[in-house]
Parts: sequence; C-alpha cells; structure tokens
Amino acid sequence: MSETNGFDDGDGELLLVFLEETREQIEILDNGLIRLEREPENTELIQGIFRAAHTLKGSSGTMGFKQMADLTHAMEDILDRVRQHTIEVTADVVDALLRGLDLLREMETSIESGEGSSISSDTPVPLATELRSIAAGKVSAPQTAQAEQKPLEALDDDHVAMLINFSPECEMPGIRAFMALRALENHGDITDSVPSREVIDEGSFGSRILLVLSSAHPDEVLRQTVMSIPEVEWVRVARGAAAAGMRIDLPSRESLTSAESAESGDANSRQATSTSTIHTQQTVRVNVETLDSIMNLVGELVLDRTRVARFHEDLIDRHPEDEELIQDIDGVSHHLGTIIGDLHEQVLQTRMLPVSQLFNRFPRMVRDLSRSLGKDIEFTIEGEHEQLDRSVIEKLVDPLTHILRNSLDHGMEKPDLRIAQDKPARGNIHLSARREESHVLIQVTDDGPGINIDRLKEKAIQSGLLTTEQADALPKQEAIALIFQSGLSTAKEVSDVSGRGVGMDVVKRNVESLGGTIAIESEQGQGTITSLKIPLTLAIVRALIVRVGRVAMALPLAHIEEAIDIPRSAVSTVRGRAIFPWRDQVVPVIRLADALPGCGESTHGKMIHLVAVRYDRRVVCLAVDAIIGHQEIVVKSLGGYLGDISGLAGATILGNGRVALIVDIGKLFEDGYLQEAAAGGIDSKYASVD
Amino acid sequence: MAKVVIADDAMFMRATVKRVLTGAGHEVVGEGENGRVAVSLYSSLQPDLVILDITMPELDGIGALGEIMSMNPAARVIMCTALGQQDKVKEALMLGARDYVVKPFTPDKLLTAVNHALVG
Repeated sequence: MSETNGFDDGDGELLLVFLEETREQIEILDNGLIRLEREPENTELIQGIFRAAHTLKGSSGTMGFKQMADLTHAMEDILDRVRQHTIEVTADVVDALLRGLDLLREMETSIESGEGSSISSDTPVPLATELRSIAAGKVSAPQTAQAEQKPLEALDDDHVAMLINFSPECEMPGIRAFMALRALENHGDITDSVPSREVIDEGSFGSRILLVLSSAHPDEVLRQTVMSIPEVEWVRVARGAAAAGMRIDLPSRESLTSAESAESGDANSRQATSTSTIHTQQTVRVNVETLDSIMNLVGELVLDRTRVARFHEDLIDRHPEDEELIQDIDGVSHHLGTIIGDLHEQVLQTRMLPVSQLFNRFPRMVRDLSRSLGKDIEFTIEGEHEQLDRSVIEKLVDPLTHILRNSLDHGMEKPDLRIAQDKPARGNIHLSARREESHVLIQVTDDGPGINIDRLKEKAIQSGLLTTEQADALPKQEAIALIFQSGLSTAKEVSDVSGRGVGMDVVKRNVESLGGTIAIESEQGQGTITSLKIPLTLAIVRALIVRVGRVAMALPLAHIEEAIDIPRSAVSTVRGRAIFPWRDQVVPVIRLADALPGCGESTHGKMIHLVAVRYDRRVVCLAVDAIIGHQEIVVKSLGGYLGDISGLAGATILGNGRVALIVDIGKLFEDGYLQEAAAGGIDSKYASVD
Repeated sequence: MAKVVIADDAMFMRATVKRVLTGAGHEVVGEGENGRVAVSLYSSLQPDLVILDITMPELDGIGALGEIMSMNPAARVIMCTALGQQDKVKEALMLGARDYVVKPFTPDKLLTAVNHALVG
C-alpha cells in the first residue's frame, strides 16, 4: 500500500503515470550523469539532470514515497551545487550520484511490483545522508535560535502590536511573513519586529512573529488583513497599553509544533487519521501475479460450472422421480452459475486498463524522435478509452514502439522531400484503437512513402529467400508480407533509431504470442497502415470446437473465416492436391489430422466439414470430421505432457469434462505443416470416388 | 468554477493538479510543459487562473509570470515551488503572483491556494 497523501487514485492511474515518468527521469539521469563526467561545463546538461532530480523529488513526495523523495532531494542538493559551481564534478561525485541512481531504480522496481511500502516510511535512507554530506559545506544552518525576548512595554495609542502565528504545516513561514509584512505595509509603518526584519526575510524563525505597527486603521481591519493570508493560524492584536507583556516565548519551531498540536491540533490530527483509514479501505493495490492466479482459479470455476450443469442433467435422466432433490440442485446449480459468471466478469474487469495507458507514452517519443530526425510530424491518437487486459497492454509496448519508430524513421520523408512530392510538409501519423467484438483493432496509419515493394523483393532475392521468377510472380500482399521475414530491412542506411532488420519479424512474433494478428497495407507514395488485431484478454479465447477422429480440437475464432459442410464431390484434385472453390478463390483443402500427426485419425463420411482459416493473406480449408460449435475456452498450458507437438497452443476442458486441444493456426502455417500435409495428397482419401 | 491553465514540465504533476482541480469542479482548459507554452495558452485561452511551476525548461515560471503580468496586471497566478526556492517565491509574489504551493502538497493545500487566489 502506498499512501498517496490523500489523492484519489482509486484506479491507480496516477501511480502508473508516476511510475512511467519516474522511469523516464531515471533514463535522463542515467544518460546525463555519464555525460556529466565528460562535460562538467555543459550547463544545459546540468540543468536537465537537475530538473530530473527535482521533478522526481516533487512527484515521489506527492505520492507519499518519502524515502524516494529524501534520496532525490539529496541528489538534487549535489546537483544544485554543481549548477552553481560550488562543487567540482569529480569522479567521486558522479560515482555517488550513480549509486543514488541505482537505489532509485531499485525503489522504482519495488513500487512497481507493489512491494514499496517501506519506501513510504519515514526511515531515513543512509545513502541520502551520505549524499548530503557530499553536498555539505552549505547544509542549511540550523535555525537561528531566537534571542530571549523581553516582553513588550506598553505602547502609545498610535501603535499596535500583532503576534502572528503561522500554521505548523506551513513549509515556508518566511514567505508567509513576507506576505504579511507587505500587506500590513499598506496600512501603516512597521516600527519594530521580533525577530529582526533580516531574520524574518531569511525565514529562519519559528512559526511566530511579533510586529509593532504604527497605524490608524481599526484593529479588526489589521487583523483581517493578516488573517486573509493563507496558513496564518491566528493573530493577536493589542493596541497601546494593552500591548504590555506581549512576547514571543516559544524558542523553536519544533517545540511550538508539538505544543500546538497538544493544544488545538488534536481535532485535526484525529480527522487526518480517520481520512487515511477511509482511504485505505477504498483502494487496495494488488500484485499482478495475484490477479493472474485469481483469474486462473476463476477459469477453473467456469469449467466446473459447465460440469455441474451436466451432472444436473444426468441426475434428471437417471432419477427423474427424485423431484425435490432435482429442484434443490437446480436452484444451487443456477445460482452457482450466475455467481461464477459475475465473478468471472468482475475479475476480467479488474484486469482491464484503458489503451491510453499504452498510447500516452507515444506522443513524447514521436515528438522527440521526429525532432532528432529532422522531420515534421503531426501525431494524433484516437480511441484511447478502449480497454485491454493489463498483460496485453504491457506486451504491446515493444511492438507498437517498434512500428512507430519504423514509421518515423523509414516511413516518413523529410519536409523538403514531401514538398517536392506535392505532399504537405508536415507528415501525419495516426494511432487508433477500435473495439471489434472480442478484439481491439490497433492501427498505425501514416502518409509516408509506403513500402517499396521492388526493393523488398530485391532484398529477398539477394538473401536467397526467393528466386527472381518467384519474386516476379509474387502478389503484392505477399510481397509486403516479406517485411516480416527476419533480416529484411529496406531502409538504405541503418540508423540508430530502428536499427538493422530486427524489426517486423520480432513484432509479428510478439503480436502472435498475444493471440493477435498483424497485417500491413501499403500504397507506394501514399502511406502505410499497420493493423494489429489484439484479443481483449489472454486467458479466455473464443474458439470453434471440432472433432477429428475421437479427439476434440479448438480452433481460435480469430483465424476463422467460415465453417462449411460440403459434399465430398465438391472437392476436386489438381496435380495431386485437393482444392475447393471458396468464395472467389481456389484454396487448398487439408485434413487437420494430417497437419497434426498423432492427434487424431479421421473417420470417413459422405459430407466433408471444412473450416476456412486465414493467416496473413493465405486461406486454407481444414477438413475435420465434425463441427461441434463455438464457445469461450480457458487456455491451459500443455506443459511438457504431450511432448513437443508443434502446432498446438495448449488445451482446454470442455463442458463435458473432456479435454480439447487448442490448435495454433499461425504456427501451422509458419512451420510448413500445412504445405506438407497438402503435398501428401488429400485426394486418395477425399477425392470423389463415387 | 474557474477555468485554469497548468504549466509544469512533469506530466505527473500536471495530472495530479488536474485531478485535484477537476475534482473540485474547476475546469483545466490548458496544460503546458514550459513557461513559453504557458504564456501562449494564457493569451489564447484567457483563463481565470494560471498555476505555474517555477522550475521549467525554456522559460521558467518566473519568466512566464512576468510576461503574463505584463499582459494583464490583474492576472491570477499561483506558483508551484519546492522547498529551498524561497527567494524565487518572493520574487514571484513581488511580480504579482497571488499565492504559492510547496511540492509535495496535499489536495487541500492546493485548493486552499486556488481559493485564496480566486477570492483575493
């Protein structure tokens, strides 16, 4: 639990922003401190580092991470002295700052993993003390002990004494006193003060000042003038003879603070305690791992619900006479079902975050990058309120960063080139999210030069991936898909922004590991659209359940175009391969049993059940023995139980308690199983014999 | 309820301030990450109140305050500051800032300063 000083952060959004920005600032410190050693005179650099430490101090303090605030404050002290050239940048100084940075990183990590409670404690950080001693020499002098003050003598009636008490929470009493003096100077002349004006100006006094003022204004006006200043707790005004005996007699701010709270602050402190209790009850931070395991358990419950419903039916079948029992179980089963359904939804909801959590980090990146690349880019965002599972969001950071960087680096022309092509000088990159059933479609659209297909083909030929003939015959979409082949980067020169070809193949793998798909459309000279279709959650997938022999298989709906029953005669054979005219194209027909050897043996019937599956732009019809229906399935890892069967993504338990294997369609296409199975020939088994 | 412009180079602080203000019924009409942006937001949006961080890149809070006050001597501005910047705060108050808040601050402190600036 972190105490956030009373800020309403029920959804943890502030914490996320805080963490994100902390990481950014740590990055700045990291780069900056190393450079500082080499460029100790670079004032801009020093300002940047100082600001990072300063920002961290402010935000960590606001979030209630006192130890982090303490540490960054100490770092800031050193940097401030560096800035003012009152300390020399030696290797030791940089070393100390770097150690501070390391600790800062550790703190950030513990806060992120929900183990940051000690960081909110008041326990001093030893390293901060050490850093402060380095900054020392200027360690703020202990507050000047106030000279013992004699009580005031009686004044004449033109003079008024004002004892002003500032709130113990006032961080800058010197400033409040300054404001009070300024306000009062409009109403008269200040003839005396305790402590002296110099001490008041420095702010090195307790929380009270005593002023003597020559003023004809009514006492109440003077009192109101001072009371209107924030953090003035009370004012005592005495004119003339009544001023006799007035004195400041509490020597230090600390003792005043404790005395005050004993006196009048009691109600306040009680109130503060109860507020913080309420806050604790309203929000609880939960470790993501805990959420994951709750999700898993709920997944089990969802499966059990289906099984209970089945037992219920069995009971009706077997003991129809036992009406009372049936009714009881009916009630329980129904209630259980409703509760589990709600629970499931709630748990899913706790894991959902708005896409803005992901998108918000990009404007800064795009701005910085386009600036450093000398490009003028208008970056727009849409649909950031759409929600995705937290783990999905985390895993999308890298792919999206990469796509955007690619788009900026290779995908966008510099202003002069754009003008030469009759395009507006300023390029557009649009990042959008849109909910589509159980998916969110994330698109990056740019109006850059588009993908140079000829160059991609050239590269593919050079690297031996394609022959010249194959390349010539390659349809446009498949040529664009070459970009997903590892090692093919078309930018003429390698830049440090998007690097060398480690790009889109990795992006594709990342997106697919989320159960998503990626597609690119590009029009030369006009721009590129990269589309990511991402499932809302990783744990639950909608799938089509089919039967192959006696084995149930689940095909994720994301890849499915259509399920069709056709007579055998509709499949024809061309050059030893089974094909079927699906919509307006001819697609290969492959028995799923052949693509997944060992997973099931087909039976033969008059009808063939086909499932048209799509991957990238390729469509294949998978022949199965029966289509059972579609349902939500909870994905379970296979672990090592089935050995290394490529092409399976896991298993799930169906309502009847039986296991279904989840087919990894992407993998089937990629690893060439489908091609092999097709080459093996489906004709001997399915070609029309009658 | 007041229309407010916030300027702070830390997104976190902007988010925090915005949340507190919005929660109290104010409307944050503009946000900037440096003093330069704050000045142009002030002149284009004419807000009731500006909250300026003191330490910002390009143009700091004091510089921005000076420009805003020369545009409109009645402008209502609150400074956001850190401990150790007393001199800057004093400078800001002399330039016409209505009040200040010291980071880290609680929502109450911020709102007290906002109310003080709006009423005074």
